[in-house]
Amino acid sequence: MVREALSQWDYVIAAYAIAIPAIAALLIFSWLRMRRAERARDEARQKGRKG
Amino acid sequence: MHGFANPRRFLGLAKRLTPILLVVGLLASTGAIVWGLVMVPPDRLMGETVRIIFIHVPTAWLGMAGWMTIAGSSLALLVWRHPLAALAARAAAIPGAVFTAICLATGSIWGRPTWGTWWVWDGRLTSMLILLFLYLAYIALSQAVDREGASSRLPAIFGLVGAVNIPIINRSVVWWNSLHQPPSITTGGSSIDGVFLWPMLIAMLGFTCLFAATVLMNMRALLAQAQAEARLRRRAMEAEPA
Amino acid sequence: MNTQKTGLAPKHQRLILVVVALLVLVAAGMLAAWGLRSQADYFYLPEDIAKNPPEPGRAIRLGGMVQQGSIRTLSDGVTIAFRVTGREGNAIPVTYRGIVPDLFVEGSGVIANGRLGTNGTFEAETLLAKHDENYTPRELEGLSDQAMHEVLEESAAGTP
Repeated sequence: MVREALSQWDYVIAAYAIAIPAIAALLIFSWLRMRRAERARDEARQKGRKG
Repeated sequence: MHGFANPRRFLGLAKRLTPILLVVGLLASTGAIVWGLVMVPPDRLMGETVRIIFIHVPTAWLGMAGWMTIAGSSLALLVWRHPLAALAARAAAIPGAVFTAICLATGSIWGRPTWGTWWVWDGRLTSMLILLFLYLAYIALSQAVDREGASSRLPAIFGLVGAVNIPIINRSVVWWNSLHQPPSITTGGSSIDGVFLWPMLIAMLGFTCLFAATVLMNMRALLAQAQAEARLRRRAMEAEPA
Repeated sequence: MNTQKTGLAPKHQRLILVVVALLVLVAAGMLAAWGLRSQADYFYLPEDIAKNPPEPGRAIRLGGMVQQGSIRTLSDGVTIAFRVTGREGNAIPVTYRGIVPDLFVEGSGVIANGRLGTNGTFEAETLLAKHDENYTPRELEGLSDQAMHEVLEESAAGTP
């Protein structure tokens, strides 16, 4: 009987190499989007007060 | 419930919760991943590939929890007209889609050495792929509604209709003969040994915190956009000669 | 505050409407899933094939357990033969020539793509291994089921 005998660690590494960057990207983009939106709102408020 | 209808009260709470959820989520998920990669012994049959469970199961849970967030918020929007519900539903869509996609990708990578195939069209895999397509459709729909200024009730109805898929995903391995195995954790207990179960539960906790932090950050972004737009409109109206 | 003088509050009306719509929707979904019952099955068990034999030569998927002690290599040295059992007593002999997945072992799940031959033997073209819902560390390998359960119960109870 011929077995596939795949190297198991390659698959583990591949799975983590997809999951970790994807979650990191999700967090970073959400953070940047929130910061940009809140800064734009605060600037609009400042302008409103001065004008 | 309407206590958080006030955006200022919501923002106060969200600003305090976001860093807490991020720190707890990062610590728990990093700890669980290190635990799962370094300290856990190989599985009796699967060997080392069992370590994929520490991302596959939490992301599967969050893929489904994401749609339950959309459905719950849609219900609150349609029934109680809760002002933050539309934001919550939209904020959960992208993280839900990302976690569903990770679940599908890691499942495929896990399937190759375990089952001998990257993909089959069995009940579980197909219903999970449908969930990803539902997310993409929901994101496209809510963006179109936002752009065209149409009623946010439209995506809310879609969110509720799409929730039918969640019990189908859950039951698919019980109702139909499938390549995917039946649930390991039932009300009767767990057939996952403790050495795998504990890091998996901590990973689920950590990823859930990260998911919640993402939803809060997206809600804050959407709220800030809406506030900035409202201010612009008000100023434009004031500039008009009365 | 928004309660009308007569009848239900609008939000209660909406709640009832949405809940009724959801119930109808879930019922429709369940009905569709029930209708798909046999079509959505990924494979047939040996008893399904015994009850409803497909015509020989039609491509089907057979799934079940590899019977303990049934795997043997035929005289040509590459073809393997084993028996697949289902939930009932039926067993179907299978032959397969090729590379087997790493999880293909006796007493474990298997799904064979292939055709039923005229002699009642299933000729598999591809084999998939089916994992069960149990996750057990390798240290416990070699123990009998009884001993394993004792170990698991001890570790669950927290005794060293």
